[in-house]
Amino acid sequence: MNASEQPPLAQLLAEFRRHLLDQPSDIQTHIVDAGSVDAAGRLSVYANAYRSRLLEALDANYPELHKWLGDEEFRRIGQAYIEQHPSQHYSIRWFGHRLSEFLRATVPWNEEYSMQALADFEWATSEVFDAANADVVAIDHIASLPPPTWPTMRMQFHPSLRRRQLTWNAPPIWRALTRNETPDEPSETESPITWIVWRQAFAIYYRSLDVDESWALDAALNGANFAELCEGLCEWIDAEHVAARAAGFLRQWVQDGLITRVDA
Amino acid sequence: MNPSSPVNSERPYLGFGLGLRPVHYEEILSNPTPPKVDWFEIISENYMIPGGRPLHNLDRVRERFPLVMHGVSLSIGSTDPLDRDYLKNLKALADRVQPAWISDHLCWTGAHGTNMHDLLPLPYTEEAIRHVVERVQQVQETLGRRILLENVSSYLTYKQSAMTEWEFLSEIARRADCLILLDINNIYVSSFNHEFDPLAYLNGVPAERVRQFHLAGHEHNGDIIIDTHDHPIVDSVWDLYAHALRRFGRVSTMIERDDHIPPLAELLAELDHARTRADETLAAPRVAAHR
Repeated sequence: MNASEQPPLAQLLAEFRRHLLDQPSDIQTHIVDAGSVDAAGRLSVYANAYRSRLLEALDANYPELHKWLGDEEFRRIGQAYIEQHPSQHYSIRWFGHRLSEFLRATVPWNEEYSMQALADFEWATSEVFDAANADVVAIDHIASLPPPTWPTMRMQFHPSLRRRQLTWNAPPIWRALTRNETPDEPSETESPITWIVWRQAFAIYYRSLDVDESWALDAALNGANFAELCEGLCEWIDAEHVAARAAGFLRQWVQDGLITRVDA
Repeated sequence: MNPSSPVNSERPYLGFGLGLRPVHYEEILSNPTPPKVDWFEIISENYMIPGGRPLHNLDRVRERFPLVMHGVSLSIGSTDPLDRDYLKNLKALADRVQPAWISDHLCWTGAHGTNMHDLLPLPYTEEAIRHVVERVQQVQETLGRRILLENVSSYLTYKQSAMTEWEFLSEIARRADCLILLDINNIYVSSFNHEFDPLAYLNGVPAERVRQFHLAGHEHNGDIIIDTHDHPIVDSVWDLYAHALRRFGRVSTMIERDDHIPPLAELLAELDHARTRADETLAAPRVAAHR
């Protein structure tokens, strides 16, 4: 082959990339066929390593989903995901961040709702695990605020807080799997339930919210002050009880370690 | 960038280290007697995260041990633009960890926005040298320090390669004014896969630029050796390590284990073997590294 036939570096890497992605590529013509392993065999070392490394990464991010589905189904999903969503982040830690979205959009998993929910919930737990740190406020701090400042009080929340709306019982299934117990059968609720997942110190916590707390948390996350929370909660609570209900939420959020700052 | 010191000044020496792996945190941090390891190497990307327990553990290890940072995603050979976000986060981690040095691989790991998460080989050409040198210079300028580039294991040769791997590595190190992390196992693996003389490799690398050695195990598949980091180091690699010690003198040495990770005690025993090998080799009368 004369020099003019040698592709520039960018083209060579592009051909190699296409080969790894299982797309048409002429990379093999640029590889020396020597020794006991031919060019195709040498290239296959890389192609196999590419897929097995991404499958490992998916397993690291979805260990409970993997347990739940078993090796064969998890591998089938993983291989399809790898083809559909090659990694675009420099860190393999984020590989798989679109798995539940992929399942929702892809036959034959697009109607596997409990599987989608488990993937969604498990990814939330993995985001919580290494989310940013922040100091949280103590209940004494809230108690010490003068009553006239309460109506204008706004809250800031811990950066690890994640919310998921689920109609399937993925969280208890996930918990059973983490404990190597037999999980409940998948079951569906009539309307979606809000679950929150967060980190306190280094432990991951989660719980479900009643519909009024779900609304209040949403509003507080969007910057509503305490008076606005009370006003909105009137949709579910009598006006005379609404301040106590809102204060109860606030106390619970502080005790959960969800509040990092209160601006009165 | 103005590298802080001429490269021929005395080589900094950390002793014998291990790769820091989460399964060993407990043994490293909770044991009242610190493990007999002089330093740890971290995989940079594992700690380029917002927060949580991994960074907390990293800080605790750092209070007790020197650290070096070893990256897998710099993709110095890629023809995509350098990832500025990556470099920013790498620098932030370096500011936190204050590592003795920062290394990555002489390879490419992605192209056209796709990250392949593998250490892929470059063609050994003048074009690739010029390309990599320019990027190393940019990285060193951003980080404000020289980086170490590591030789990778490879399984294929491009037809267009016009020089040996060690000529390629050495020329880049000289022109970019960077340092070298010599992976002894990778030299062994590639020498088998491409049928070259590993001693020629050792003799072809500029000694004054070598700052660190890697040792690791591999998987021998008969026709080809795969760099798997999942086995103990084999005798042939220990022998090559002895040659490297004779050629380069005392160089900070660490053992990489990334799969089938045994209890810490087992790796400490392997590291002790490296100490013994180094002491014996360097005490013996110096002989040229030729067969």
